[in-house]
Amino acid sequence: MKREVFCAGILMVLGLVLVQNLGRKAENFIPYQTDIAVPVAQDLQERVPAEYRRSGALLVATHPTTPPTVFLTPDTMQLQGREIDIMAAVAQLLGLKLYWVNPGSLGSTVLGLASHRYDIALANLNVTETRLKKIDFVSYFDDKRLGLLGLASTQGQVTQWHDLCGLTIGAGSGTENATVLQNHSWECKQVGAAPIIVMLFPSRPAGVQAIISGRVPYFLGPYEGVKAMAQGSHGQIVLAATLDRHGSYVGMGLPHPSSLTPVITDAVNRLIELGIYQKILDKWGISYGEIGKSYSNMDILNSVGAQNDGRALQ
Amino acid sequence: MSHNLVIVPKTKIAERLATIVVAACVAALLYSIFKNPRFEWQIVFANFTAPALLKGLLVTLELTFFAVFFGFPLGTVLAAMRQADSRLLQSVSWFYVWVFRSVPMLVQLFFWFNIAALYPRLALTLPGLGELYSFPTNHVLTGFSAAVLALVLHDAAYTSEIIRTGLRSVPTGQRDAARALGFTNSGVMYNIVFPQAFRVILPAAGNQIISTLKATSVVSVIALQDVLYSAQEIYERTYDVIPLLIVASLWYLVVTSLLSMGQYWVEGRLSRKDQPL
Repeated sequence: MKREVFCAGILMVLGLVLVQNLGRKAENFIPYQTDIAVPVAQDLQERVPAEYRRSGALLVATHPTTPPTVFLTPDTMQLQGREIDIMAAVAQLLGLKLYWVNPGSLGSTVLGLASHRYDIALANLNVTETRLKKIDFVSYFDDKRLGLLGLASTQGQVTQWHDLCGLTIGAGSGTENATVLQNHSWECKQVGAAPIIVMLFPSRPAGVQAIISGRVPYFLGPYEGVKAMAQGSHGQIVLAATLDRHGSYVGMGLPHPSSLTPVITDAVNRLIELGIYQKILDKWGISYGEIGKSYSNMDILNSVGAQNDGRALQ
Repeated sequence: MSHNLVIVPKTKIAERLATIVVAACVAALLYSIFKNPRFEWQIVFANFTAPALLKGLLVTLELTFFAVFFGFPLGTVLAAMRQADSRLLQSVSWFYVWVFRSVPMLVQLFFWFNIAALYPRLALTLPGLGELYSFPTNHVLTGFSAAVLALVLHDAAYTSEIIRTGLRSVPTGQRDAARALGFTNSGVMYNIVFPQAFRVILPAAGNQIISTLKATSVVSVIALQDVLYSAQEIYERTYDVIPLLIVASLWYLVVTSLLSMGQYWVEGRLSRKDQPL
């Protein structure tokens, strides 16, 4: 009898240790690195909803890909980039600490926001009318420039959207770039040219590998991201063309609705007023995407009358 | 002795109670699933037969069919090699199964899809005649055929183990006995080993087909749009994550049910031979 009690006791202790460790494992925060230092703005800090002021911190989801958007430094595995600097500056204004996590996929980022697991998400998310029904957005970048990756031999062959008609182009699954390609494919057909064949890849590296092995001639992605990939490819692939579009904004995602949305919008606008926002974009060489004013939710789309969600991708 | 005695089964109170409790739980669960607006059933129904999803479903079914259609014969050959007396044949079969069971499906898919990065051209060269024919690798190995190749090679490794286990389940004593009775080698296989081995192989093979069906969902890594990827592609645009994952799961449920029904039917047919004549 004594032995059974002893064994049960040992098992219970083991179980408790296991459960505790599981809990600790779930909190897998990624360290980050920023050189931005902004004093707390009293007026904004007072407007932070009580629940966040009590915890004193925000849990932010991101998905590290390439510089300069958001990436892990190869040596120290710390997060760095545009998303980190802008969010760090916002948090400093509001007097809040930041914890970063990588949910692993866009699907779990969106679900994490909906279930209030994450307070904010910054992962180069494009604002569209459909998405606004699910989450809140605060704009912080004008995503007007796209880059086309190709083999070195293809440089200069594409100068405008029409040149893509009849070609097979890779794009990231679920990105607005795929929608942009579909829209241009439709325009190709309108003028009697062959449509664009869009191949959707779950990640940018998979698309780049497909260029190298000759599967697709080009891959369309965000300008700054694909430029960095071309530079890092040891001359295998180049930035074959730069293409512009209108009315597409990158936004911070928040739960829908979130009590944080108004104060975060005002914080981004404060950064613009203080010139800190411009400094961050300059630092990463992406001032072309500067916005004059940050908006939230439908105001982002109304501010330009951008309706880039009109034609759905099928 | 009266023959009118009625057999009254003993009342199983605990079982009856359990039935009522479980029925109540099931009803409550169903009610909550269908009444909870957060499941967004209207989006599920609106997308259930969306053209993109049906196209994806077709890709999933085609991939599963080809993987099984070519994977099982190849697996049978591998199992036969493993049973052979030649040490070389045994080793090659063992090595094949070792490699293709160990390397994750995702890596194999990515590898075959991008094999042109290693071998840009495939050529048929014969000694003395030189190169007879050559063509770009990417023309032969399209995204779809790369996926079929990866699935077949992967499936064959698992199938060969299933078949090998089936063959081994028949005791060697039976083969010896059959041979003593004058059966030829192929006669032993056909009349004694296969009929018994089949009953062991079939349930495992059914399982294998269903896991192949689900393994096809990793083809998204090479931009092939199966049913799950089509659902993901929609929710990555609209952010309707859960409803579209439900849609994809419902389709997997439908296909798995059909496959299971087929399996049970064949199992029933085979076991009928067990009945005494």
